[in-house]
Amino acid sequence: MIALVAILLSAALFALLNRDAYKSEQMRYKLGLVGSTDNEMIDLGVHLLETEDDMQFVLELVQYEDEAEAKAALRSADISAYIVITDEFADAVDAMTNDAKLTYYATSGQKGISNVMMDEIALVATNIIVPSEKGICTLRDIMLQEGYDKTDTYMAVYEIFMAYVNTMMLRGEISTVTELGISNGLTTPQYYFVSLLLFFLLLVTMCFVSYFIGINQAQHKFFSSKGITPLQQVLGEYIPFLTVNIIVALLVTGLAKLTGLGDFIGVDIGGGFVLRMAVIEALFTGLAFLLYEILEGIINKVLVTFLLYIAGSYASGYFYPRSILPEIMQQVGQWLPTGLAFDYLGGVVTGDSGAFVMVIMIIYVVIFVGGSVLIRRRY
Amino acid sequence: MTEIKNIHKSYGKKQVLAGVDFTVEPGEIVGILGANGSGKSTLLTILAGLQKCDAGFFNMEGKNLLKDTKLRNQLVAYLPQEMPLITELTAWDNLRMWYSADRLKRELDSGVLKLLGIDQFIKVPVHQMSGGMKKRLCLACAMNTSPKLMLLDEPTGSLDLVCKEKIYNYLERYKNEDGSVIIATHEVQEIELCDKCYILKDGRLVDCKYDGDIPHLIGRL
Repeated sequence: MIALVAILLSAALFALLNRDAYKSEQMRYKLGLVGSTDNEMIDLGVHLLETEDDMQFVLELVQYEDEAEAKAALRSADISAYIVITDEFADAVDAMTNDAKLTYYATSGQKGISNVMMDEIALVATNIIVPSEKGICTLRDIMLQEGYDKTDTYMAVYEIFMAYVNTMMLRGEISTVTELGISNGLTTPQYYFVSLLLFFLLLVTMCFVSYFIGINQAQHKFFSSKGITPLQQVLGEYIPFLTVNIIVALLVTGLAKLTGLGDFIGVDIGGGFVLRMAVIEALFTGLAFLLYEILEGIINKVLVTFLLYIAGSYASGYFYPRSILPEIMQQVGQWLPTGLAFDYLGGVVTGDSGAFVMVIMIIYVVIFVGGSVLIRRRY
Repeated sequence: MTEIKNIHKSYGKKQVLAGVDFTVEPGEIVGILGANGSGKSTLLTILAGLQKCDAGFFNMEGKNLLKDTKLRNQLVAYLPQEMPLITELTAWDNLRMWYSADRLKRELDSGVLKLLGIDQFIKVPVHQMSGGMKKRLCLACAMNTSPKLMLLDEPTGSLDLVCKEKIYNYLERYKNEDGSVIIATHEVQEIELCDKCYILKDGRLVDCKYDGDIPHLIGRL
């Protein structure tokens, strides 16, 4: 039954991502522009990006009135990144100084395109400045022809050249990159893949837990009377429960791999992914185990666990990106087991090793299993 | 001989057992009677090692089994009121948790499992069994260590007469093989099975000589 549901979910997700409408959206990178482009130099730069640059074939510029609008578009993956052009930057361009920079906002998942964008922006800057170099040389010639003092002329032109060289040298740092991320740097398809997968695996723990624990307290009493300690009992139930959950996780990820879903949305479903899934399953299994150990009565077990799962998933950004939640909820959500699992699995995409998160998750597992042992001691 | 001496147990300020003393000879069945909440199950769970007492001794073969848990696990079998079975599994699978496959076959052919009639429903899942079948299966699980003392907490409650009779027959047989039994019970038939009876009242045991006068017995509880 579980496998059937997994197949149906995978098929639905694959169909959704394979739609023509979705594909057409992926044809070109959309770059948002926030701020005035009235400045002559900036207008020239935008024109170069749109028409004369190599990127014109894959890049589409979208003008936004304010940054909030652009940020919303980025979070909903309508654009790949956006640039904020401030008045200070326009003034700095006019003065040929590097006092202000462009701010480039992108998701972590768009890191690759971010680097290309930065190079392109630097190239545009070069394209603007090279004609300026010719202008400076022409200015020097005209000044000499007009009979200006040769020493003064060379000194003035030297200062102008120094300003030019200074600008050229720093053109690679013309912008700073700030990562916003729809949810910790994932693109929309990656975000939904990770969040739906985790939510599914969380719910799966509810399907199996009744086979292993809590239904019959007499069993625990009987085991204890036979000299089987609470720790042995809990581990004896936790390990097969974890094994079953890992098998389900392998089935689901195997389907995603076989159908090419992972490659399609840019998630590398390899050994690293499976290892992370195993750690996450250890966490989810421990959480389910503890909840079922604490709660009394099958109705309570199912209802309360389900409600806690929903609340935890919401706070951890499974249904909406965590970044749109209130700050306090974001803070809480990232430390919940569900939030840690999201960050850990999302790390496959963003390239985060997740070592710190994994340590925290393992501590959680120890707490959950240890808590279950303590509660089991009541029998 | 099994010797239980001066067992004390309190839950907060409420004293449940206030110095319980009695002995059980080999081949003897001892009944513990008492009103609900009198502490019968508490006494049995202490003897089974499920909870600790505040003070007291439980001696068998010269050892205090409250401290020697390994020996207690060999010598003592405990059967709680509820069924300690995994309902999704068959009788065979439940028994395999406690018996090796070889021993299980032997016991089914001519041992304790044959006596309990387990061989008749060995492949039946627990959730399809009658109450009597389940109880006998529980007893079979408890007997895996060939214990010298059985602690039974209301073993035949809610069973029909035929099932009760099968279990009583087995207990008689166990008793005749020098096995000792302590039963916490409300059942008149189980009281009649006992060689000695005690009433647990106000945390202490009182001798009870049951002569078939039920109203008199009720009055003493």
